Amino acid sequence: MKNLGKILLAVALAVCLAQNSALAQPADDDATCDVTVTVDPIMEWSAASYGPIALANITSPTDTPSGNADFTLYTNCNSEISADNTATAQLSSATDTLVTEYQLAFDGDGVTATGGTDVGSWTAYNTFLSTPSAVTHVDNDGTAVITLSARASTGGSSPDAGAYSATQTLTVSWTSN
Amino acid sequence: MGRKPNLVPCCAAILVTSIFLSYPLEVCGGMAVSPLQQWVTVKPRQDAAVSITITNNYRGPETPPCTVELEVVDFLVSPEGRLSFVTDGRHSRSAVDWLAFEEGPFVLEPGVSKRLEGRVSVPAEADGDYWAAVLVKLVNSNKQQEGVHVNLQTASGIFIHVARRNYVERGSIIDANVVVPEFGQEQGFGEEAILEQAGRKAQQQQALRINAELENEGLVAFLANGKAFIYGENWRRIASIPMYTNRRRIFPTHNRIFTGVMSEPIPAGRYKVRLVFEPVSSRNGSSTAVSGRKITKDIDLTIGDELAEKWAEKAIVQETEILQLIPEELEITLTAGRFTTKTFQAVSQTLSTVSVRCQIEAEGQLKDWVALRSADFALAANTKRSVLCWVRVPVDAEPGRYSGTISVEAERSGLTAQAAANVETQKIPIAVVIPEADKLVAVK
Repeated sequence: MKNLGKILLAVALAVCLAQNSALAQPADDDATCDVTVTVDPIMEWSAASYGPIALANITSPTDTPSGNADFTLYTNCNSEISADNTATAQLSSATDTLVTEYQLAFDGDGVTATGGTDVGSWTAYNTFLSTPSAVTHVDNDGTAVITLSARASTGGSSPDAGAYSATQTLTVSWTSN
Repeated sequence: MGRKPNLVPCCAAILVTSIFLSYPLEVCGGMAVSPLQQWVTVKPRQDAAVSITITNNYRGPETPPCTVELEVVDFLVSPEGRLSFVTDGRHSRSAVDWLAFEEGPFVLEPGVSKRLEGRVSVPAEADGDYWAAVLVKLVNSNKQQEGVHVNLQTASGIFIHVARRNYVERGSIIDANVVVPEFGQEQGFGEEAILEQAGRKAQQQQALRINAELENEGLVAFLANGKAFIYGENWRRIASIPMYTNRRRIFPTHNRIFTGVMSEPIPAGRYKVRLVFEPVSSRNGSSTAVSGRKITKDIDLTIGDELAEKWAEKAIVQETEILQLIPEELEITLTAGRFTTKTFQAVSQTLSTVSVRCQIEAEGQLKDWVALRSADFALAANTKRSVLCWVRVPVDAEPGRYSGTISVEAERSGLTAQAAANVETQKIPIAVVIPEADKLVAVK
């Protein structure tokens, strides 16, 4: 019993000392830490679908089927978009070609929201965006939805029957001073 | 003896097919590229590092892996300021063969970023500015279907200054001409949009247009600001016209066409037009004025009585402000030690070219914290441009609100006699707010 009392006393003393040493630590100081980061200009192409712009079948020389696809440009800087003006962007089969025209539209006007000025009239593949389309970034709006439309027509003639395809390349590039 | 069908390949085929169907090829992710431009200064026979970061941003569980490939190509800038990327052949200032980049293709999983390190190795005989571009292409594996396939790519420019010695910006005006206003038939009836477009075209034609083609004859790129001054008898200045171009940075061996437009009529007579360009050094993307080196050329202009009469009769008087500034004020809240940028837009509302000069007007510390990038520029009729404000607050800045203004002086083409009406100054209030530092609460 006597030994048990000694042990309890020693434990109580140890606990007291431990609490005292904890209390003796200096009070917590406020700490601040500066964190800085610089965000470089970033340009991101994104698309929900990467399939081709499908055009309805041409069944009459007067048919002008058209279709479109949306692409999203996530950006924090100004840029410009140009297109391929070579024959690659013209609808062609193994033996014939079709009149191929394009349009480009933005969801923002470049003043109140990131975007640019629409190319609202159908433009032949070889002159489409020959003056590149400016994309103007507006603060706090990092997204511009770009709609590319394509249209095929026969030019009044009867082109060869078959499947026609084209590849249009949209290039976003830097702007200069 | 009949053969037992092998179930394992069959199951594998079904599994692959089901994955293929649930995850069609046409699903596409994103491809972020940074930076879009980079400058390196390097001595002959030395190497320098360049890098491009490509990211497949995670945009939800449907984000698929994306395949990206790089191509180092030449680019040229046309006299009209259009970039064209050249995959075959080399121009005399090409840096394509000096650049070593891993070209891929790379498959980036969703949320994965890849920093591609490249090296520029400059040969001994290199001298001045050289350039190339890296085309970062999102690979479209879907090639088999009919229709219009769309490829997406981002161009990142790499500009190399080979610092062999001190360089002098050298340029000359190789061509200049004046297009006098044309007054055709009145507009008839038709669709509103067509009429509006035709009306805009007619308005453009009913203005004096001065074109000048500037050539860089030196070894380094420069930015150029230009004006055309019209002089009457005894070299009395009667009008000034800012000159605009799409890309002001002119690389060695390149030409650029500048255009000045003035809708205000001038009386009949014989005039001299003096074109004056001032080259501005453009190292590392920034600009520094070069004093004393102006590029000039004089051309003749004659306005006949009939033209002067029609021009005066049809002249459009514009009552609107020259520029619209958006937004009308800037407020930036950031803690001490931080750096940020903010933009405002200058939108031209005139039929003439406009020169714009922006500067910070602030007392004390704010003046040292805020800088404007590309503060001097010209705008074509009815166009816009962003002006970037860099704000860097030092670490020891005291909390508070620091105010100042950005002064935007716009001068449109016009007659010297009406100079006051052709120049306007607007002010954008700018405030930098530094909040009290947040106190950290210790968790006990």
